[in-house]
Amino acid sequence: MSQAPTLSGRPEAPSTSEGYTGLLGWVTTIDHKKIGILYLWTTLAFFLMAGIEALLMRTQLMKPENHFLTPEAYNQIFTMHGTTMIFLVVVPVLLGLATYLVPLMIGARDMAFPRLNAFSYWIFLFGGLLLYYSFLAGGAPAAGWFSYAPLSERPYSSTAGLDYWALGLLAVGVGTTASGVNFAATIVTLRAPGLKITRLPLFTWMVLVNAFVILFALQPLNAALTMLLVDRQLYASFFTPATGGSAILWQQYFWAFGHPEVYIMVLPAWGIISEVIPVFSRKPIFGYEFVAGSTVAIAFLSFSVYGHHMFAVGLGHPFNFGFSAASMLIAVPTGIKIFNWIATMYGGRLRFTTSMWFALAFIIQFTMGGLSGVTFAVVPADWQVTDTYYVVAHFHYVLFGGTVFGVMAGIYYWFPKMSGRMLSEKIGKIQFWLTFLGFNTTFLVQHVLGIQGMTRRVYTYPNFPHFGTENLISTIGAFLLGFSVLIFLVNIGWSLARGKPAGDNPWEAWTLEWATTSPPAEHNFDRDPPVKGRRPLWDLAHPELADWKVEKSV
Amino acid sequence: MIAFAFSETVYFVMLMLAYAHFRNFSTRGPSQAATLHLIAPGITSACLVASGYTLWRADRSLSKGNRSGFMQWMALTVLLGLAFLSGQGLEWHGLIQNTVTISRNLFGTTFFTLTGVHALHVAVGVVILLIIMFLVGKGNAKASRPDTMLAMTIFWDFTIIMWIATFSVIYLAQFG
Repeated sequence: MSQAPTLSGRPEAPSTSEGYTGLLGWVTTIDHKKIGILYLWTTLAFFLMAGIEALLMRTQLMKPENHFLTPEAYNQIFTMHGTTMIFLVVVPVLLGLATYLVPLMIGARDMAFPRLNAFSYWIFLFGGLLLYYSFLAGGAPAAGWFSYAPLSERPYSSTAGLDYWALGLLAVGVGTTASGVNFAATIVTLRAPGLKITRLPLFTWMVLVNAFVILFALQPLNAALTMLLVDRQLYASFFTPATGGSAILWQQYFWAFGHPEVYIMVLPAWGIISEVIPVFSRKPIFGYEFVAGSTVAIAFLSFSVYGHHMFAVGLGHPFNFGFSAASMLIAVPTGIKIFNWIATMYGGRLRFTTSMWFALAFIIQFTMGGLSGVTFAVVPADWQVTDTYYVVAHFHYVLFGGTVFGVMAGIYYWFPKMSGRMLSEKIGKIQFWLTFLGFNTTFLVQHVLGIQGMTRRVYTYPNFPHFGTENLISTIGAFLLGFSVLIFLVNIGWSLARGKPAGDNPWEAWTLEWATTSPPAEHNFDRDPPVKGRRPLWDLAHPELADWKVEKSV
Repeated sequence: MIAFAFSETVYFVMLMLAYAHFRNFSTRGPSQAATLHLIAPGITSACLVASGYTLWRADRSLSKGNRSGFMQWMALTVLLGLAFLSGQGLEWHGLIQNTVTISRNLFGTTFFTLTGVHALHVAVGVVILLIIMFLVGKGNAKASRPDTMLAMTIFWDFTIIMWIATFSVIYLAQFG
């Protein structure tokens, strides 16, 4: 492969070996664009698996005292649904989008460590396959995605499922940590000339902050998984109360990871929204500094709120007060972002593309999820709703209504850049409305179910008044949601084959990834575009109205 | 490498916290005060700290172009690292002979996990040292760059610092 001349003396990244084409080219690639695409297809496959698991769960729950699934089967399926969605779908799809986009957005040739980048993908795939192998090796893990001790210990979970869970997650965690190192190094050292940190596209900024959260948040999980494996395989006693260990210690370590993890799952999505909304409002983002600064605040605060997952453990007033206050506080910087996105749209000339629809739905649904979350930052309220479907509704609103809708906005936005073709707007809008309807039908009613007292993490429920009807509504919504995913697949397939050619910059956007071809050449850029502000392509297209002429400082 | 070292530090800290939390919980069986001696671990610790110095000398030799000096100092570093691992292995052997095992009680569990994870990092470090020696010996340009030894030094120094912390938490804290 020919190498482009080194851009401005920055280090040259190695390319794939000469002569590998086709499948072997994909397997040996260290090109960030190909690795990003590998992540996207793989997470799509895991999304479909976890979606089927969800439909199985909803079928079991559609009427009281149903026997579609045995309790043992249900426990394995809900554990795998949660574990897959969190570790094998949401986190990797965001890392995959970032892997594809970040070097392009900063005008670089590739990531700082291209081979480490490939390693991150392959160990993620390996970890995922290891986890799913458990189905064939005696049974999947069945202790929930959070595997509380002592249920997760050998006396209560004697099949190998939990060992596969721990090993699979260790592998995936190593890959994620490596990505964190890679993004931090790339964004800090490989920016194009003129691209100061204060001029970073917000998606890249969020990925940078996220990288630091990853570096510090994954390690408590690695420690806890190590200790669990030592307990299970070497007959030790970290978490077994019967032999002197502490089951609560597992919860402390797990949630010290688990809470920052949910921010890892949302920070890049906020970045996507911060790219999409300004472009389709034809206005620069309102309050760039506040969006960037509030993100850093959230990153720090995210480590100080984990105790709110343990309010019902009985750890005492000081513990509860402290974490309750911090949990309420963290809502503030999040709210700041919502206001900034809305202010960006105010006075703009809105373009209602499919991507924009998903972004708008994100704002509404994520806000709803955030509001329901802050209601149980209040400790007594948490005591009432913990372990009910109210919590399930909350986190699906932020993770699905939020992050997944954000990812869809990002896919509709960047698919033209990655493939050279537009996704069909007609099919896209149909898909959007079906997804929106399906999602809200499934999860809105779960708030009610939770307040009425329906327990989560159980395979069936008694025939209390309204429970059956409400669960049926939720199940119908779930199948509608499943159908909308099929429409999404149809759109992708059809558009890859026959979509309209996209051109370099179909959305008239402003950041550097749109300054090269669609799809980009292997070396990304022929030469550095001049960067004097936050919207280099706007400045090039409108020399008299360039940001750096109009604004005081960018 | 700096980012990786910070991240791994958190991992070690979590394991040390577990050790500190549990160390006096064991109501039966051996405890740290009864079974841990200071002399042998003291000697192996000295070996590990000395290996930090020898690695620094190796780095200086390489940057001056002194290949044979580099090889000698690297070999010394490897030997000191192996001495540490052997000493650790002997200590473990002694403890296991006295029925202090990972499953015996909480002290055993936390002690062996923490020192085991650390020993694993030393072992990986020794392997990387050998790989660098091999590549520089073959004349590989990338291995001879200053960046390579810088990354190695950060990792090796991180491992030494983790040992100093581990040693303090396990062997010295009983006097606190």
